[in-house]
Amino acid sequence: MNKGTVFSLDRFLALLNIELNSIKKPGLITAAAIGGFVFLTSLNFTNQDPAMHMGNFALFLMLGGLIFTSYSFKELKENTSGMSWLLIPGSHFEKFMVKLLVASAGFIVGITCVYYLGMFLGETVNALILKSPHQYLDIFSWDFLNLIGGYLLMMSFYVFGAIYFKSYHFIKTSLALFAVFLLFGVVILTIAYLVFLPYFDGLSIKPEYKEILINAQRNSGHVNGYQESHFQIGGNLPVFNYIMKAWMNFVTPIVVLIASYLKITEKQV
Amino acid sequence: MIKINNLDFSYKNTSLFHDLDMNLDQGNIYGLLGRNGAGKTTLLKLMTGLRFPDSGKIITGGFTASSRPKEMLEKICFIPEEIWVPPLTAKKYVQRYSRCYPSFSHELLKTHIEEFEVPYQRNLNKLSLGQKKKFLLAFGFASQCELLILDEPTNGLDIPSKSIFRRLVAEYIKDEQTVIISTHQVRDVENLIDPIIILDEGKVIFQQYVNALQDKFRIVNMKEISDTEKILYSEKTLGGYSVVMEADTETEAEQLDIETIFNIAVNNPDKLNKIMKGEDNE
Repeated sequence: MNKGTVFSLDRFLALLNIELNSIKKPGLITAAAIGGFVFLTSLNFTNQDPAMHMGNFALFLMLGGLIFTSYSFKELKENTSGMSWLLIPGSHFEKFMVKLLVASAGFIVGITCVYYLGMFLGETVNALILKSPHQYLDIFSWDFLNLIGGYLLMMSFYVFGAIYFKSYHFIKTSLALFAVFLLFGVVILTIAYLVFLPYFDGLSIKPEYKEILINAQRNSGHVNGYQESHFQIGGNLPVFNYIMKAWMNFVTPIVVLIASYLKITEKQV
Repeated sequence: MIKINNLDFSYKNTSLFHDLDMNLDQGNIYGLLGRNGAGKTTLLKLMTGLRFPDSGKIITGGFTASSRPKEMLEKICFIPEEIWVPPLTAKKYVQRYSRCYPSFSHELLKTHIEEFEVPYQRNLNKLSLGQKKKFLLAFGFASQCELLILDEPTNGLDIPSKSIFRRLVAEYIKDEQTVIISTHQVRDVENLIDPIIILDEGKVIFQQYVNALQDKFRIVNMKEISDTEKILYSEKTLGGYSVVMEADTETEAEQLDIETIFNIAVNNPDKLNKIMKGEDNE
């Protein structure tokens, strides 16, 4: 297949232009509202929490971003607009990438700029008049990057929901995620219960098994037995953590986004 | 331009098309006719890949319709009966969407917009249904797509606009373009469409050039129906009957119109098709 069939920069920019124009008006109104809110909260001299801006930003990013993402495929809600969108000459990939770019990088950059502007103006006024400025939002901190990673992960689920559901995308996706995580938790707990039940008495290990565990550790040459084994397990945790983080932050969103893309190719109106 | 083979399609458990075959050649203005619920709009959606067949094949412009590749979409302009326009002025709409159509002509658009008298600077959302439709028709003609699909194009148009529509189709549609007009308002497109395709009960019951029919049949006004064997279709009128007969009659006759052809096809499809194939002469 010709490369230009699937992706052409010119067509991508044309589609991006259409997309940005479709969200321009509501986007500007929302940006003004958020900027105004941030400005006012920056003047709050009673709250001296150093993480205030990070907390507020996280709320806007997550709640605002996921609602925004839920409506990113708004054209598919109605048959008439869906027909118009699906028949715009462009590949499914280009159309999908435009939506994805706007919901991910577009929203992150937009909300960060708006927040920073509101915060900067508010904190400047605060410093000049009220003399109790807050700590600025640090966009180069690990906390900020972690937050962005978390948003991108959650966003991928909401992209899928935006395509899969015909209406009430945000609520339905949230409920579906809640149900999936609940089901996942129940399954894990059930497995844990079935596998480890004989070894536990309530929440504590039964004394005979604790003894076996300590003896096993002693026989394997560990001086402090049980205590040391605990540290050894702790020592392996970072590796497990990295695997889990990589799985959650890279593999899961990519799989969900691929599923979303395939869903678009199957969309009928 | 469009090839449909063994198409099966159903909505939930209701079968709409069964084993449907159809071939639409490039360079014609097809009239797609059928009763309410015959599946005209669904067929148009299937042709453009907006709906997928349960089984069978639909090839539009050389591509499998359901895959909706960009090369196929560039060739198609589909103006549905119920239209949607984004909240943009006509001018901005053109700036944004025309880039997606490789053969788009801004000169043609200007001409058509002027002919239809569509306000170019007003928000499309604020226009009446007729004005929106006229704008989309002007845009569609200017796109110069190989396949122009119009679902009930004259619905919502005022009388002068219907005449302009007919004139634009007659004047500006190029020989290599294919147009499919699905409509109930056959009188609005009477002299434009040829051939006609009639859908009924999930099948193409008739697909012929209007000229071929007009050569073979005539409408005769009679006070009483006498020779029933030669009569294909009759309709009670004031003071008698309007009867469709084979053209070999010596009686004074009128030319066949599309509405009558439709009525014959729906009421007497087998006989009509036999006559068209020349089998009835034996």
